[in-house]
Amino acid sequence: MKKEKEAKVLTPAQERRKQFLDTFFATIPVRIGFGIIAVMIVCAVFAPLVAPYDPYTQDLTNMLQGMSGAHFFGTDALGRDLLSRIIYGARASLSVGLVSTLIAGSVGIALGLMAGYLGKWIDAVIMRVMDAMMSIPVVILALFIGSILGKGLGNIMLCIGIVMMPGYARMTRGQVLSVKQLDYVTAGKISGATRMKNAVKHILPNCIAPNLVLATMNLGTAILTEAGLSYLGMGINPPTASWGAMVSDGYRYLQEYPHIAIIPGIFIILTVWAFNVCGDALRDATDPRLRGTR
Amino acid sequence: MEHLIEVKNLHTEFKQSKGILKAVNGVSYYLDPGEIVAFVGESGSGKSVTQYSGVQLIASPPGKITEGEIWFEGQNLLSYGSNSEELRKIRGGKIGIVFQEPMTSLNPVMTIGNQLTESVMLHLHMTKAQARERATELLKKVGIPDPESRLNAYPHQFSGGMRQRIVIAMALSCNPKLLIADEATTALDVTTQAQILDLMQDIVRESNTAMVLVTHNLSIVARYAQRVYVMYAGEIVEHGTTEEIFKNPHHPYTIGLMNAVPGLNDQKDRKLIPITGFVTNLVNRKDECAFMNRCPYATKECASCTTPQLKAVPGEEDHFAACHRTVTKETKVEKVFDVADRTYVAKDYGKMAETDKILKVEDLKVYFPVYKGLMRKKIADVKAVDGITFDIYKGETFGLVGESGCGKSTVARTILRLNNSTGGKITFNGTDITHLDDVKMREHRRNMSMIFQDPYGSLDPRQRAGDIVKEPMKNFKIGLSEEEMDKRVDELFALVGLDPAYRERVPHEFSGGQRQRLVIARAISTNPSFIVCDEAISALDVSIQAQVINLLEELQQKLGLTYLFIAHDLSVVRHISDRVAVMYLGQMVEFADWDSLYSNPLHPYTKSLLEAVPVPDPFTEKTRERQIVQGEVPSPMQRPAGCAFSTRCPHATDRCRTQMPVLKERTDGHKVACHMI
Repeated sequence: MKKEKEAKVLTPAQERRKQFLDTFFATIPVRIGFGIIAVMIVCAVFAPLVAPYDPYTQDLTNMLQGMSGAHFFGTDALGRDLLSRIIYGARASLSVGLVSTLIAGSVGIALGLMAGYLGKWIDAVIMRVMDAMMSIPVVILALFIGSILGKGLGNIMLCIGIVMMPGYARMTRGQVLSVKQLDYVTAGKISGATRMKNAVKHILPNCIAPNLVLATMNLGTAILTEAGLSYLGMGINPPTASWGAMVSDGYRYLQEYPHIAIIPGIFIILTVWAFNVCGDALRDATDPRLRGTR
Repeated sequence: MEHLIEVKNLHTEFKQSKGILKAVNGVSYYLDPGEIVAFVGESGSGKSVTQYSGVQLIASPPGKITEGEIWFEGQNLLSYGSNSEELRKIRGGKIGIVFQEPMTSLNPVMTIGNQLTESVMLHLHMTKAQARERATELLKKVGIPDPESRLNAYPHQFSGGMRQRIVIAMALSCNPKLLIADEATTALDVTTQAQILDLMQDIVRESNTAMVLVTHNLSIVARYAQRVYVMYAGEIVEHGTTEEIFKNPHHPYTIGLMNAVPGLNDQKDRKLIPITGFVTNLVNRKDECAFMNRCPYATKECASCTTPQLKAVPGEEDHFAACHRTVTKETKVEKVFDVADRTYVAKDYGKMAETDKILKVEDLKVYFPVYKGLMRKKIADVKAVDGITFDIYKGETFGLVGESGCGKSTVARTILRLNNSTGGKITFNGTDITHLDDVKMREHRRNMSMIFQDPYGSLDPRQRAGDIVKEPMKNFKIGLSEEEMDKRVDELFALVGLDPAYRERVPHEFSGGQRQRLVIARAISTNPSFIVCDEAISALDVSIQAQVINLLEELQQKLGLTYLFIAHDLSVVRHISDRVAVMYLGQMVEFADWDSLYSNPLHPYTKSLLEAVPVPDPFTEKTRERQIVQGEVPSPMQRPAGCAFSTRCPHATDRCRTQMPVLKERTDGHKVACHMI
């Protein structure tokens, strides 16, 4: 078996993929984190098949129960099964986290790249708008945007995405400013690259790494912001489950029945941690200088 | 006699994921008071680690000194812990260290006065007032004008040379017995380098301090050191007095180094013989000669022997070499490395026609505006390039020299239209390109290219070698299909001496010399006729420098390239150039063919530059008369009213200070801008 493996000659593309995967999965936390994310996503997608109960059925005779064989994580104040609600809640929370981070990241990075590379008045206009957005507290800005867009899962994603955008724009702009004066960008110009090509091919790829880290950190913030907005009535309407909403629901029973708030909280922490380690590993695996060193 | 410091059988290891790296492998050396001893070797030879091990300044872990004794004034330093009271007293007190990078070895948020007094108060137990007095005295000693008021200045308010003087003052602050200068002048200009080394030499002589000169520059060794240790792969391979080593080198590596560097008084058609191959991987090193794989003298017997030990060279006192064979410069080599003979054919510029000019630069001016205040009002111009005129003929190498800050790189960047000119005209291949827009300029870029100083910084770390070389071909749409381009990449790799199998690698997987080859392959991929080499070889080790210089010359012959060769290393410029221009503060002060410029320099600035360059020959150095020019290049913001060089020129008169000299052509085509000639 081992011999067979050695004898196999890899094409360069396969070699690259193997190196990438080897570096990505180099440490045990990454493997655990990646496993957690995979399980969560599978559960969220196949929630109706996985969940033991209907998450919306109230059973007032069984409210506020502790952990038991029948209700693995117990029940909430309306007697709904917590495990089922967590599984369904993953749908809202994960999609809010991922989609809003994606919106914030892609638009923010694009704006930062434009500001940093083109400079002059474009830079001034973009960055002053970003500064203005950053100077308003997150929740107030989100409420403002939300009041224009209206309620709903899609809008809340868009809303959180817009709120988090300035961070990426600033980070990217700073990176672009330092990268664009490096010799290899000059070399690109001498090699006949147009401004557009130089920006996309040489500058952008070398500005992504810190944004990856920022994105993994923002993912957790997005999930929690959604909870805050839902609490204020901006987000997802009850009875739709989301982890953030479950934490704020359970908050009222924190003294007597702490598990109602703590269990969804643990899931938020787990998700954030898992994305964090995977984000770091992804950054290392995409860095050719680190690839193959672990 | 007891030595000031004696190191016996020092071993330093670094733990790495793939095994143990023996960076220092059984090194023994000594220094006597008042002696200047050089440690020479290329990067990675372990010369710095050896010195840092001596004062236990290596990062631990992963580093560890596993064996050895370091005797300093009767104490074994290795018996103390690296953070012990005893060692801290010695380090910075009795042993002073001058690091390479003057910017990073000073704390940017502390005034230099505080930095100087800090160690004085700690080591010499002085009061604050006494320490300040001592600091003033030290600054005066190292040649900082107006020391008292300068104590309150921050490091960024000094020039690079001045900063290095301050670092020296700090190293000297506690009257050390031993001074370690780790590549202390490598980052400085030749004139500043000469000033600083002369200063250190004087101080060492005056106070009977011993000095270790860690350097890769053989010429510096020839001028300043009394004894030399040549290091390779963490071992001392040769040791002797400077005269003996230069006259009669016995280790193949030493011989190789000497064959690889050009000197100021060489024959023009002397060929540089590079040391081929790479330093063996020192991780889990084997007990054998580490230089074997690159050694032109290695025989079959060498492979079966263990690591050679230093043994005395027959007939010479105090001269040791670590080689199984007895090799001299005359010994026949076993392996002949292919270096084509070099014949220099002087070009006849009289016969060249106007159409032979590939580039014409007329009265080029590049000013950078300086803005100040709330309204961003333009208050002045930094005149980086102030009216220079020259032509470059097809197939020649045009050298451009001068100290840093004199505008050579700005000239190059302006010719390539990387920044805009303020005035003047640039004609390339008969087309006026001075004001072409980006789109039109791209049509000409195909024919001009550039090789950068830093081979790592000029390669996108996320691109593969093959794609890097292919990029210009793709961008300029030279009409090749994907397969044809791939084929061409392979050809280019072979042409610059890289294995085409490496095309899937990313830049950091290449060594410095290979990276520069990659940069060259990219530069020639679209068959340009004109290449700017901006300090293209300054960042490379000497043996690799020789490879790259040879490659550039070979390519010039094969492809008929024209080079604009910018460098501060005058020996290399002399070796490679047909005609040379000397720049000072944005102006051309002298211009001639290489022979008359080097044999008969007319401008005082050219003379002082040449005098500042050391020659790799201790005998010439001893008898050579030289006068090191004082001071530094003034800021282009405060340009002297008359001749730019008048502030430093030993012959300056009142006329020089008020009236700007123009570049005059003498009968033999030698141009010079000086009132005195």
